[in-house]
Amino acid sequence: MTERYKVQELLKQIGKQGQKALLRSKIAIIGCGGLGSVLANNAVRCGIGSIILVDSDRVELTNLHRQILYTEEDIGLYKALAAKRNLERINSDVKIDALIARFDYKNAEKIIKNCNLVFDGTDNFETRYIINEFCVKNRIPWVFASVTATLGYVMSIIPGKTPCYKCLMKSFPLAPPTSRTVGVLNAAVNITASFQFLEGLKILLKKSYSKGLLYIDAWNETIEKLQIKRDPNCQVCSKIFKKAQR
Amino acid sequence: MLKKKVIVARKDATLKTLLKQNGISPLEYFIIVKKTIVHSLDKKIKTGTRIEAYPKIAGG
Repeated sequence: MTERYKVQELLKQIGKQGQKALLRSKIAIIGCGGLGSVLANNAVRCGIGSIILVDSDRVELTNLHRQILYTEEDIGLYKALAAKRNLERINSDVKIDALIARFDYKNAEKIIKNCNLVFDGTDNFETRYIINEFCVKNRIPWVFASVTATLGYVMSIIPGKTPCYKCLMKSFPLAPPTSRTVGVLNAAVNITASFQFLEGLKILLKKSYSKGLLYIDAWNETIEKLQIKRDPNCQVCSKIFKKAQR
Repeated sequence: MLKKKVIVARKDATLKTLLKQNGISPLEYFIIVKKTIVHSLDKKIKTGTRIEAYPKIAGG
């Protein structure tokens, strides 16, 4: 085992076996913005073996206050490519695939296939519905998060065990508040993404994960855990549960 | 400013009525009663019950 992870392996929650599991893991990070930057940074540093980065956008100056993977030199470059290059400088042992694309119904299955876990770094409800649908169908755990202004949410979704995103988000506003309309605090992004990453880490290590929806108000130093009940008639996950009960 | 809203039912009513009276749209907020997200707006709420509304956000 490489010297690189020696200190991390000292953690009883990880240990040598846990580190081996991480090195064998394959994850997808859908969206390489604020959340995706922190997720990818942590994933690469902790030695997750293989990472797929998906994003169709280019780096803009207004991204730099919160999207920690990028520098002024990256402005104008595709985020997925700039992220891959910068992440490989951090840990060249990790296999990183960069895909310049929007995650959609056409490419979803191909991207998440063979992944042990999917991280949500997107910025819209519609793409999360697609992640949810394909992850539940393929029984791949995923960790949802969203952040705007000083608030964030995190939720682990384990098909067949937890409620899914559709159980949580039955309806959504057509014009939700966004970073472009109400701003976003970089610390809120970092805190939310760190909790999101931690959830993913626990899932990969087969440890107990958080049940419910984590609500974070970074400015007011508040974290609450909200309970969500599974919708027995959920269009997405009810079939999975029915199969599991048989 | 984006933040959660808290209301306390002043009389027995459905969730739908209480939310409407307080100008809270379930499209824009998660509605929480006793720390659990509630989707059914026909749920009857008793006087004195605390209802929390957490904003739905999409950013990443």
